[in-house]
Amino acid sequence: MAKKKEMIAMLLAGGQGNRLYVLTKERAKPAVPFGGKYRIVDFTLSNCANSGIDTVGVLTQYRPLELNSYIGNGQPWDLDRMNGGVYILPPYTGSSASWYKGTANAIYQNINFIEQYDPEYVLVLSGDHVYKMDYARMLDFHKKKNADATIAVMEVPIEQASSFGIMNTNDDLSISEFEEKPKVPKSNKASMGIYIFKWEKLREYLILDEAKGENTSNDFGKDVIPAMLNDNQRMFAYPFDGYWKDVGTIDNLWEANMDLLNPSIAINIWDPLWRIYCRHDITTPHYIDKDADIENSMVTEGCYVDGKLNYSILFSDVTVEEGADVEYSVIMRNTKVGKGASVKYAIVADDAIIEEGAVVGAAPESYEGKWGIAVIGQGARVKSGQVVLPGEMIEPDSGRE
Amino acid sequence: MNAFSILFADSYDYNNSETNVLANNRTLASIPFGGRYRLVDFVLSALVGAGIYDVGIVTRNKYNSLMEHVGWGKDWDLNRKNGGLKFLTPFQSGTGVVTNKIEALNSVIDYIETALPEYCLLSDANIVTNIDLKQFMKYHEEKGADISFVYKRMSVEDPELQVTLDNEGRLVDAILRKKGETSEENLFLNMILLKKELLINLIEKGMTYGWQSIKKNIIANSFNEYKIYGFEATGYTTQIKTCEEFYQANMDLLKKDVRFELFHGVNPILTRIKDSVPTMYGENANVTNSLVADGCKIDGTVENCIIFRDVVVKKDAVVKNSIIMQGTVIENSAEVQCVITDTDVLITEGKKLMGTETMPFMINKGKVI
Repeated sequence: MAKKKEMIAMLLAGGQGNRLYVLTKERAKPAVPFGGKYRIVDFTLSNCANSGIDTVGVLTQYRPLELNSYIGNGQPWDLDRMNGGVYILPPYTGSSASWYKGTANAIYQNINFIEQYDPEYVLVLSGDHVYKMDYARMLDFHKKKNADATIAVMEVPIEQASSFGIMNTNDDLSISEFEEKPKVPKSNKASMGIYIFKWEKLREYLILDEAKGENTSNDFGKDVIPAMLNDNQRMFAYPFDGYWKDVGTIDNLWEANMDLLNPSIAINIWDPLWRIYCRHDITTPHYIDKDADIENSMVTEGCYVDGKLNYSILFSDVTVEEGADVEYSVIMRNTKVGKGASVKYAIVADDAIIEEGAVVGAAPESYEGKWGIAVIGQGARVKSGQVVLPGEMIEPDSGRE
Repeated sequence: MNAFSILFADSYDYNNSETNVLANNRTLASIPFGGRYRLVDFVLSALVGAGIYDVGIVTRNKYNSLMEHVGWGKDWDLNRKNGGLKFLTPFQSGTGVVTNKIEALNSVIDYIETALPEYCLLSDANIVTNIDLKQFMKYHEEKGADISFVYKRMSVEDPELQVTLDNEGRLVDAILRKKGETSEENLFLNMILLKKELLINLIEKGMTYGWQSIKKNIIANSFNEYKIYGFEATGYTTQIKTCEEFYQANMDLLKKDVRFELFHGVNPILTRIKDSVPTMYGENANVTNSLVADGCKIDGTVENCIIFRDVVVKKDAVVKNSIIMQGTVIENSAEVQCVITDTDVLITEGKKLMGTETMPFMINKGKVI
């Protein structure tokens, strides 16, 4: 029998990430690489570890293989524990269970897992966001307010508020109204998809929601939260101000990577007291050769650089050969950029090859057509002399014989 | 072949601190090397690569940095239920101060006796190599050797045991030269393989006759009695004892073929994982021909250097032909050339420090200049 825990975390990692297109063809969105050596999910897992949460259930669904092997026994996040630790929870666990129908149903199907730890509180997280947050402080707030549910919110520019779930609050931060993507937002407090519930209450509402059958989409934002509000449960908005980014689109993913190169941006991944942990590749220090010219860039171990880098992020084991020009780009692990190739405003996934003299993407000011970030899928080969236009996407493994 | 290994964290052949200030506060095994490694990583990686998962490290003193680095062996996959990594601390000796390798082995003879594998691989932990120990073990069996050892063809300035082998690879002569040679010779490396029973027998003999050295008493003096064979280490291999050798071997890593032989050979080189962020290059960075680990912030000029983790080189600082260890900060407009900084050194604004390639300027751990 597992020991009682005050709070355990349930991490929703089943998102398809369709708007990342070729980058999520072969992996779940939380497993998408980010920031030189991380995966998106590392931020949430590291937040758990740094907040003193030692029991995390990871609910997977969509293309889980890579995410499963990445998380493994949780050791890189210090989540290999005798009592608790990290657990991958795929669907099909119970006799009457099926594919997770929605976020609430995913937790519902794992009620037995949660009950093992007999928790007072359950933290529900999503694995798609880049941010640093101390969940222990959110729990303090939750306890102080004697809340049934606490939802983390952050203020967004009011003109963007209509693309978020918006919380309208009273002076004591209690939530009076919740509107999913309102046309005319009454407030700019956007839900971050981070919830703390009293487990007893959540359990009750999950069972109620499940009983609605076809009349529910089994979703936290659409069904469970409105139902609780309707019944006048004590619900509070926990204000967060700091860096938080949903990296669900190509543009957002690119921007969030570029933010790491900007010293004035609030996310500090250098903080020794709040490290972002990840599973490491076995590799060597990186080598900068004689013709290299590097500015404003991040380079990870195992790289070889002999070309020009400006405002770019290289993951481990990337090669940039002599005369290659990489600007405002994100190059994932083990990709090779050949001699004289040009990569600008692009995301290049792992194991790709940009052959000598190929051109990928361009600066917005130098392009007259409909501009966008160029994206090269995992393992693709861009042939010598080939031109990949801004906004164009190359399928994984294309160009290979 | 089923083997376990005994590693020596220190050399007993000479006083470490005098020849190598890097070993002032640490074992030879835990001297930082190549940007993110410690010397012991190379031998540990070779052992694990050859499937030897039963490793005892014999320590003498100053071994806290080594214990901190190696821990319970997890990063080398040596945290095993059977075998795994064990520290054999001097606590076991019971005979007072251990002054040589024979005594050191005698102090851990109980451990050797209880080890299950049939063969024992004895090695120093300051050998930088990417050797295929599976081939070494196979060679030993094919030759029907009693003892086999690893040698390397090279020239060194310091005295080393020169070995002469016959056509079959059997040792027929060995001599410890007072001075090194400029020509390439076959030099004995402190890595030998033999049966556990023979090892115990030799330790007992050694204690009886007052032997002091594996190299002198066992290799150089017993080749008539035992079938001793030499196995050549092919790729880049060197043994680091002095600061000069340390500097040279690090600088060798700036050569493409050396990096290739060492880092992309038969074994991946494993080391302790430290969760550093990727290295950040600022807008004034100007870096060429350098090996750089993770976690650095570089905004100055770096040329022909080995930069360890979490080093900061600020704007207008110039660092050339130097080895900058973990946590060192070089402030604005400081200039260093041919310098080795030990860990956590601070070189304040505008300071100029210069050594030469044959006599690098050494700055001790934690110093503020």
